[in-house]
Amino acid sequence: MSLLSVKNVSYRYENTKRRALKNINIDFEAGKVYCIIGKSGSGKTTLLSLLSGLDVSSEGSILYENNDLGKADRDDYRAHKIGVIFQGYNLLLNKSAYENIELSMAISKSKHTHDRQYILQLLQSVGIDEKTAFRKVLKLSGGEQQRIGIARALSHDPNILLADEPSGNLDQETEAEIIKILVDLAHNQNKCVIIVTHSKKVTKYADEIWGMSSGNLVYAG
Amino acid sequence: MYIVKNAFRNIFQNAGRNIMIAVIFLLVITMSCVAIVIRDNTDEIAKEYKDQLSTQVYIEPDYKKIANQFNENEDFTTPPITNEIVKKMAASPYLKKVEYAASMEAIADEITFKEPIEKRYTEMQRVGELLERARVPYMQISGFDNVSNALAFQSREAQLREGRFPKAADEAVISDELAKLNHFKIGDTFQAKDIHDQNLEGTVLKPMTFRISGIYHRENDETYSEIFTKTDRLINSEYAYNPILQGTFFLSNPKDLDAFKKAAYKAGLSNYYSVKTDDIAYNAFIKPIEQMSTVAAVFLGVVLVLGATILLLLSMLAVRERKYEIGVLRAMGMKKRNIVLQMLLESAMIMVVCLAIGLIIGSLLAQPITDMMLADKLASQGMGGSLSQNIGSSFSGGLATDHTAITHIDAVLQISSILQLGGIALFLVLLASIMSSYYAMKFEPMRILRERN
Repeated sequence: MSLLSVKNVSYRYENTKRRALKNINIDFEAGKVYCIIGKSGSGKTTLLSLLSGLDVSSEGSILYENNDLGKADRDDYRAHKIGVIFQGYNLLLNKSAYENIELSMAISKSKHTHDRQYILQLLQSVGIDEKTAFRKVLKLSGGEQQRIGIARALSHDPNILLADEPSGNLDQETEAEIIKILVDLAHNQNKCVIIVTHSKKVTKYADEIWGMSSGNLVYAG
Repeated sequence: MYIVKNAFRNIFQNAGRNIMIAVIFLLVITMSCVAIVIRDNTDEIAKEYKDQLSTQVYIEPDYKKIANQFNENEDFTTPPITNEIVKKMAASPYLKKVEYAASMEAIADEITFKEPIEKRYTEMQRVGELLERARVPYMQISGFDNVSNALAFQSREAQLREGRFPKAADEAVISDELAKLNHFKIGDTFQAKDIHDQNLEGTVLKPMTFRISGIYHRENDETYSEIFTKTDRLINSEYAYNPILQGTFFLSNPKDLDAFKKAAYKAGLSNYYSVKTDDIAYNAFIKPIEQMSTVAAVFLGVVLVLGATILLLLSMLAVRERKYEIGVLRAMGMKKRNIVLQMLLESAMIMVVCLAIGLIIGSLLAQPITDMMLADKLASQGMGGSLSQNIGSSFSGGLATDHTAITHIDAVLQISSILQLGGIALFLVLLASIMSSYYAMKFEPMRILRERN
């Protein structure tokens, strides 16, 4: 039973003729790790932004538990159902790591919003210690920001995790840890994990690999 | 709740931007406060004076007409405004109230003046009046229904130091100078008499005995011999050569001036008298105040336009930073309305502090600035308090005209001013958040983030 279904989705950016996505069809199920691979400009990130409800498709529909995201409350979808790990981190730079997580949890009305220990443990699990947790994100390295982005995506316990190059700025050891967490979430906690990546190491853990080329999506194994 | 908390944190986390906004808020509120306080208080005073000046009617001899007539005919005498005419005019339905006054030039041979008394009668003729045989006057007797309404007392030029104002026709208040010269005290009596020997009918005039009910002090000692009493005996031909009752008329509605004018001439008022409201005093008193109000209003407009422009520019400059923040918050699932609310709360929190400080500074600055502007206006008009008082007294024969010199305006912060400033504050808060709110409401989060990245 698919958790997230993409039906005949096409997408065209404003003021452009070329379609960034062409008639995409794919079903995502809970408990699986999906990898989407492809060259830069192939449409991976565009697909990710549609799956995460950050944008709406110009043609076709995306269904979450059979509800069309085009008609659903996408704010609610983003706040509760989905966690996104952005390639560019997209953190609030003037806030600390702790505040970023706390705010994300407050928006999704998580029961752990004011649980300091829970938030610190979450950060700890991605390699952010307590001291770093209270420093402004602006002053942290790219790797640290990436870790905070991952922690934020996990903070409200979403059903789907979307990750755009989640290990791009991490050292090998942390990359392995993060991948382990993501695979564990899929296989042991029945989450749906969708990863856009270049990393061959990551594709090794995928249950399904899909390739993107010029806006077309094809099954690759 | 988290929205309030986040808005509060944001103020300090984006201190640079918010300090700039706070400075603009504070400047605009402070300057608006000063301008509004000045405008509201000057408007109030102008309205008060306008109501008084535009309702008070002045009946004055038309000296040009009289002089022309006198040049043609030396026997010409100005037709008097008889008590009957005054009473008829007073009955006009257009009037709100009438105040009566009378005056007499008098002698009092039993008392001592600063000057030696000349007791000889002389013959003299004033323009438009009959040839008269009379003594040199040493005393001005001014009569009023209520002496406290006399201009000298209303303007505080003269102040009652002892006793009380006259309640009976034979009571009078005299100056402390005259009392000192004659060792008078409250309860003492003295006699005074019209400078004429006989009235217009040829009957010998009686002297009047006055009992001193009060003693006043006056800075201007040239008028030390003026005494104040009730009108009764001054309009009685047994005592007065020309017992004329002067009326000061107050219209119910300033628009009724023409109707009242017609009624007055119909009641027998001669064409040698003009009936008008107080244009000179209006221009002298109200114009500078209205100009101050206009200056304050223009200043307020300039401050608001400048402040709004700067805030809008700041908002546009900060929009790149805010767009990113909005994109991230939207990506996390925060609703558009909550983002707008957070932006508004941020601005509102800064504004509350700036409003409080601005109100305090503004109300402290308002008084000295008002004083400075008023002094400047009075100086440029070439008038001080004394001139405006002279204007008043030249019209009504000494009866208070209810308007004294505007030499001070209380720059008080009124509730209505605070409400107006609240409105301005709200406008500024909305303006400071408008660009960010526009982005939050209009675009999908991915587009905002994509533009930023």
